[in-house]
Amino acid sequence: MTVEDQRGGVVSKDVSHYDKFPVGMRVLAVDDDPICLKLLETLLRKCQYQVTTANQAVIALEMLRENRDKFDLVISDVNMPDMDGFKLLELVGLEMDLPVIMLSAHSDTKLVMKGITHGAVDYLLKPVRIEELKNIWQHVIRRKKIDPKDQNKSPNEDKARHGNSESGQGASSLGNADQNGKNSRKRKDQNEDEEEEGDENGNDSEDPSSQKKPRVVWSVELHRKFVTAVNQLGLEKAVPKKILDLMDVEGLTRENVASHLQKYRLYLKRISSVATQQANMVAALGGKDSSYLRMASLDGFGEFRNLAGSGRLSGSTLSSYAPSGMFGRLNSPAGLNLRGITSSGLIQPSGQNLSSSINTFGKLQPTLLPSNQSAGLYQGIPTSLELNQLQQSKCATGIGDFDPIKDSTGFTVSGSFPDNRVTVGSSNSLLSRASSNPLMLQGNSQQTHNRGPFGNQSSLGVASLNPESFDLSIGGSSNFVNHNRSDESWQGAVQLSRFSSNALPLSEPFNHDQMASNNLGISSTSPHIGNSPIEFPSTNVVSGRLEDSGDVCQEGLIGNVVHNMTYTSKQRWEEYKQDYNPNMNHSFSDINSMVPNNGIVSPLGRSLDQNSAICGRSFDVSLIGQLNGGAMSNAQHSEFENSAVDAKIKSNEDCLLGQTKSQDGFIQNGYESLDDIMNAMMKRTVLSDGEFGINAYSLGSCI
Amino acid sequence: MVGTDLRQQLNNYIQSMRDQGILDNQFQSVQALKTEENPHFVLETVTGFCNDADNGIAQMTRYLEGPVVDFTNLTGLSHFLRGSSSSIGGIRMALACRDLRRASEANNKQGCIEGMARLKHEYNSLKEGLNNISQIERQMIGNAQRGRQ
Repeated sequence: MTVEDQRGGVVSKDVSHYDKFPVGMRVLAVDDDPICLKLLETLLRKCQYQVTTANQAVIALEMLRENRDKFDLVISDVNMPDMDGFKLLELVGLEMDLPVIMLSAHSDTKLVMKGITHGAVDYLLKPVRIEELKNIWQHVIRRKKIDPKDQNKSPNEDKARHGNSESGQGASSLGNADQNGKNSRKRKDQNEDEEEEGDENGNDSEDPSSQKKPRVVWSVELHRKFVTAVNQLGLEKAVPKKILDLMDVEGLTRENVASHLQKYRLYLKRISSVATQQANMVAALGGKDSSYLRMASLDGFGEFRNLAGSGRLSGSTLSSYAPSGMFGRLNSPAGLNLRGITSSGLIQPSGQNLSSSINTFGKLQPTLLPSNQSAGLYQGIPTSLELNQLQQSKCATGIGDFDPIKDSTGFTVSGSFPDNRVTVGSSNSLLSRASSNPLMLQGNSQQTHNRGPFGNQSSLGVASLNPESFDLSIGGSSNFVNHNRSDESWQGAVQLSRFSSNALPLSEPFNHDQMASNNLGISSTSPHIGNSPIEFPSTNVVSGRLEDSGDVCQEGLIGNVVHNMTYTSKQRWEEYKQDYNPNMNHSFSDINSMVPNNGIVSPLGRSLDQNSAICGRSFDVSLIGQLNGGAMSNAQHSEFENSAVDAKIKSNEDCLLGQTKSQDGFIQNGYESLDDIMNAMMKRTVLSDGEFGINAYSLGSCI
Repeated sequence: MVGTDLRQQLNNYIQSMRDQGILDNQFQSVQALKTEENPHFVLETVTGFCNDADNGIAQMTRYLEGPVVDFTNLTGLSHFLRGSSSSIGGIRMALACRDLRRASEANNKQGCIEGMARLKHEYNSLKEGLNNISQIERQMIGNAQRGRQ
């Protein structure tokens, strides 16, 4: 190679050697096998890259730490004696935010998956061919585009970032969740890497687009402090503010910590959930990572690095997530239209790439849907409801897939899920997003991230399934989410999601058991909803409603919440309908309807009706209704929920409201259609007390 | 002339090895990496490989013949050699390594013994072939250098 080429570019960062890029790209190659290393080096030189080699991971790390800007790309072998290649991958990603390509003689799918989940941008097999190496520079460009380095940030980059990361950046983008969701979804689907980048962006702050904060490099010491702080506080309770205080590092902002926390959570999930990925989830979610459950992480959760990306994308991804995936297909009434909600990427949370998030849902499922995994879709979504569990890592998966609520299947999770339960959870995740991380996955509501993305998403509390966090985005379904997260109130509502455990299996099986457990905090939340400003216009409505249901709420709070939400929101929804993805709104309504198991249902019923109208298009409503059904009926609901859920799920088209009807009666009041839905959905079994959980589902599903 | 003959001879030889399945296309890629500035590339690579393989195999034999079979290390080392051999194009040897690795992962001592024997066999034929190639290469380089002078 001619010397003058590359050498010149090395020193200055991007600029100088971007001129002739990819020529001169600086690569660091790591492999303990000297033969392979030598070959690799020669091949790379042949491609006109600039190569530095290291035959030990620790040496490579040192080189990188010494000057991260010296390299553009890292290629590393998987099997190395001194350090596991995956570990190196994580560290590099975390600290230096560089693209890493894995290399191995093994083509085992599990390994490849592991590589991806750990954030590798590519996975090559030995012996490496030159053709493959000729294209690796794309990973660098992609990342740079999305992740505008602070130092180099240029307006263009920023813009590019915006554009690119819009989808990725859940935080801010979510506001427009619908759109973003869609966009992001596409993006997500197309390019997981974007997530990483998006994530990176989010790194700095929740609102990356507008900020150009100097990127914080999470060095080992810093990260160690962080981890110590988190462990001290307890992962569940760790909130950025406290962590920040504990860490006591100058110059570190809460946002930095928050986004890092997201990533970290996603990362943890990833670690633990790799195995759990379920096809369902994936399918349901659309392949999003189950880690999404984190939905909250959506914003940044993307595995620390990657997660972050996903997180960002979450915003968008959520939308992309066709919640259906998670929720089982919101289309099916049950499917919490979370989609709308989550599409924002709620599902994304977990970092893995949102796309995988859905997959993660699969994972989540295990956690979430305690009862019925049938939710299938939702299962994946373990919906945030389950998020409790998932919260850690799974979260996102479920929700991630939510398609921009448009489909109303948002969370169809409920609908399709046999388990339905899950959906709810998932929705929650989505919702969580909106709600602040609601339940959905995060459990830590702290996540402000979620809010953002969810805004759009109807975060139906689905996520809330977990009593704690679920903010049941329920209210949020789709548009709601944006509303806000501020939500904390929503969270309250979402909290309905408390569904504790079963993420509202609303979906058909609504296993009442689950519901029981789920008792979604909705009841509890409802007050929130009413009170809380849930931005969610509809949510507010819902809240109000829940109050009514009072009794009902307890059960499924979520249901109630949803219920209320739906109720109130119904009205709003009508308005929203137009705006929202039809689905979402409805879902709430439905949920609301559903919620009032006890009797309140009627209101729901009414609401549902309205919702149905609204839902007509999007099942979302149905979800809600379903959810409501589920949630609501402690006893009745069970059926209701089931039916509702079922109904919803089934009747995708029917407006979820119809489903609510199915709730047995609750909704019947007005919802004829809902009944159907509900019936279908709710198998009645589900809804037992835990119903709310289902509700949550419904919500989720509705979403 | 001589050079051409030698080259021809080399190619023929390599082709025959490929026909036997001992080498695959990868070796060609390795050869392609040889440049004017680095004519010894192939030689160096081959030599390095043989050294590593010799050591590796000796080490693996020790693992296998010890009082207690050290499967963990055996697995790691067989994987390592698999990468090396496949990088240089020794496909059959790489496959033997892979099988040995599997047996080792399953803690199957008998399987390992068989796998090891097969690996050695494959390695020997590969090594022989590589040595011959190296010889021709050396000659070619020598000729070329003399020619330049």
